[in-house]
Amino acid sequence: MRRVRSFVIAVLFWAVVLCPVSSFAGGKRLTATSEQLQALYVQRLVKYVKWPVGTGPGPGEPCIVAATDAKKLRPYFSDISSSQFQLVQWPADGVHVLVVNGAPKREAAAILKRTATMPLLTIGQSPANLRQGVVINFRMVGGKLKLQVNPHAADLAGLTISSKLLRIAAIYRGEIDEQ
Amino acid sequence: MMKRGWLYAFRVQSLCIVCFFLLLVSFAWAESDDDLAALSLEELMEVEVVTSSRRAEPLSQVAGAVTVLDEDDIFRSGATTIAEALKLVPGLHVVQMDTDKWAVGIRGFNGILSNKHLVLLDGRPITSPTTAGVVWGNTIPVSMVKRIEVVRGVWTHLWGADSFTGVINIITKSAAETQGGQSVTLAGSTGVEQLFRYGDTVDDVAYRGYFSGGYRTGDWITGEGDDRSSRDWVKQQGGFRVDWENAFTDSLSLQGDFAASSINDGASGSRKIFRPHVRDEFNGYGQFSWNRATGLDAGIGFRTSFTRELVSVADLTGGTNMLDAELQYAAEQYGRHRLTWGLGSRYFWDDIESGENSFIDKENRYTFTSNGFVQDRVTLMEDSLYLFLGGKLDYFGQTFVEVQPTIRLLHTREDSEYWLAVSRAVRADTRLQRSGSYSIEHNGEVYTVHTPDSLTTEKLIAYEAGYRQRFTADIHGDLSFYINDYDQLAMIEFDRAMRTATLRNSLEGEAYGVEAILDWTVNQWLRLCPSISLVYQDIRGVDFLPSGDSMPEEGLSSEYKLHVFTKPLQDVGFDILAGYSISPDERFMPGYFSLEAHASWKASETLMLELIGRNFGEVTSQYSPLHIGPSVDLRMTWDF
Repeated sequence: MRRVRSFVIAVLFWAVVLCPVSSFAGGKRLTATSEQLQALYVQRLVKYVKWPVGTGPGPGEPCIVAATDAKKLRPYFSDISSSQFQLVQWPADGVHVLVVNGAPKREAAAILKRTATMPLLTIGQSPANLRQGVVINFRMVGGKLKLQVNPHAADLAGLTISSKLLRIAAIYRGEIDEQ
Repeated sequence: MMKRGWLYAFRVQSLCIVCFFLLLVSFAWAESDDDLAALSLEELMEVEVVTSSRRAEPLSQVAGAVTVLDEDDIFRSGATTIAEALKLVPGLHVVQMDTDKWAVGIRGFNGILSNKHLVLLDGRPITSPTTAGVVWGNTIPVSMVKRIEVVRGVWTHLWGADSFTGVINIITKSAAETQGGQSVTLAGSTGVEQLFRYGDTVDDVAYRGYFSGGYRTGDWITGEGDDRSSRDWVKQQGGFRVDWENAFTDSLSLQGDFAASSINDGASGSRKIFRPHVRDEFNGYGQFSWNRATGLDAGIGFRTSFTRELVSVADLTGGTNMLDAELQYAAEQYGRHRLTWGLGSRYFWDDIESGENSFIDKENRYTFTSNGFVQDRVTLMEDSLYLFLGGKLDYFGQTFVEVQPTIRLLHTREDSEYWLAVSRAVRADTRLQRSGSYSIEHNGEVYTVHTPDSLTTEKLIAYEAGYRQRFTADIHGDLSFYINDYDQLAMIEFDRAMRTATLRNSLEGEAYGVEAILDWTVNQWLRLCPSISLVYQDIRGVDFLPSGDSMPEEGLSSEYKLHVFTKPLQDVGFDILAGYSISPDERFMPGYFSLEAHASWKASETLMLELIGRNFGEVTSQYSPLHIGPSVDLRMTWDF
């Protein structure tokens, strides 16, 4: 009987103490949904981009983020102060960032064609979006969301991308990357 | 001793409780969003993405009663024709009348020449302007269909007078979605059928072609006395589609199909219209469409088609031709408004010959119709409350222009939607109703029906309301109510003394209906979809009871359906459709039970085997004098 009790206590001890400790000790496995990660990226990316004078978010002004499906990102912007970010549904005026999420391919192409020369940080989520001219694209690699930067699209939009972002993201080189 | 034992038990229980809460806290900590919020850009790149497939998908966001059948729904129904797939939709009355004839109706109308709703195939109307019927047996092979959208209720403000009680929109797979080779073989107690399809891509142009041939015996359908089913149905069908998508904003598509069939028509499926004879039919069409996206939910679309049909109704035979074109523009959201408008026209001409028992005044007739519509979606509250204002003008090629307006309200919440609608609709007469005469049987007597060239439009004011709810991620509900107020519906008035009958706009009345659907994914291998459709009709003629094909009758009709979709093994499916139906327009026809089953086995990545069983319920009439018996077919689909 005592052996059984000892075994039960050992199992409980392992479950409570060793299991979480081992997971924390070995580096906790962080997970998020794709939409949540996209929202977190957007909130950070604006620090690595410089807009042409008079077109970016001014001091003390919120950064206006538009999305083609704003509803999907809204839960992850609800805790952010409205003085920092304001999420709106595309189409909208006075926008600094445009996230092309959930739009059909041809509609995304039409939007990106129209906004190509506007001072807008456009963010896509497919290789097609990159070809169509987004400045930054999300790419799934090994179950993780990585970044691709399109310097030509940034030039067209008049945006300056920080060297740090260019260092940690993959650079899209047009047709060379397509091959 | 007792005290020690109690103390020990207390310690163990306390430890268990502490462990439970510690586990809870540790899991909660592991899932905390604060961890993510503190991460830098580089650290975000190390976060693993978890699927959000269990996340609730948006509801339909349509201010109307809409059902969409996707490829999987159609496959699991075991449908071998499009009409059979439509049985999945509540509120749709689908019955097999004969070997090659199906009656499909919406909200109370149901007949072979069911002339109150519109059927579109890739945007092209396939409802015949001659008879207002659809030759369901010759539409398109089921394996080519990607999606079927069924709109119940009045949508004439967008689709015009043909869509009096609803719209059935059949969308076929694109050429890019039908690449490679496919062989579909069907064999069983109903007959045999073989289809070959091949598709490929050259540069960025995708194309496909198919050909099918089939023979159906008609043996599983029987009649009493002189009634007999149509036999020896031989059918050939073929088609092509070429799609060019330039990977930017435009897409161009060219497609065409033909179907030729021959059948020994027993004329018992609907004694009112058809006569026994060998009936040959042919139809073919070509269509070109161009679409350009101009923004989010915005674009321009142009479509034009030519359709040629050789038909025989009663002993009238002849050819009909239709040339149509339409242009649609959907503007991007501008402030509170999202505007959509469109223009369309149709030129229709025919050469129909009179027969021994049927007479048509003008053997050649030319008709030009045109229309225009506009709809504005006004956002009253962002992501929550929308007002739809729309209207369509229809010019029927005679003297009148009809206005068909609608006003709709849609309220969306996180897990529910509510909608209200009031609409006015009209329905113009068909070529067959316009001039001439034909013979029909009524109460055992043969009458000659005269169709004057002076019928006015049938009219309807519809009041609708609906509610959709996502109870949990796995349980969805959809409820819709309607009151249809009819006026000047066409009906046949009989003169017993003279054995003649005349078509007049003399019917009026109301229909009150409710449709309820529940979609419950119980677990990974079981999905249940029960539905109920009830309609109470109070329809009155001036002096007579309603009569004529597809006339709504007084009283309560109902349909109860239960679809059970199961997947006991990874590659094995077993699905059942059970139902009980009472006809909305054949008052003296008793209700009947139906039971259909579909088993599928994905034997390999390229081979699918299906066993399809139909009409396992009682052998009974499905709104026609013929009895539809059981049948079993094997279908083999091989991709190569």
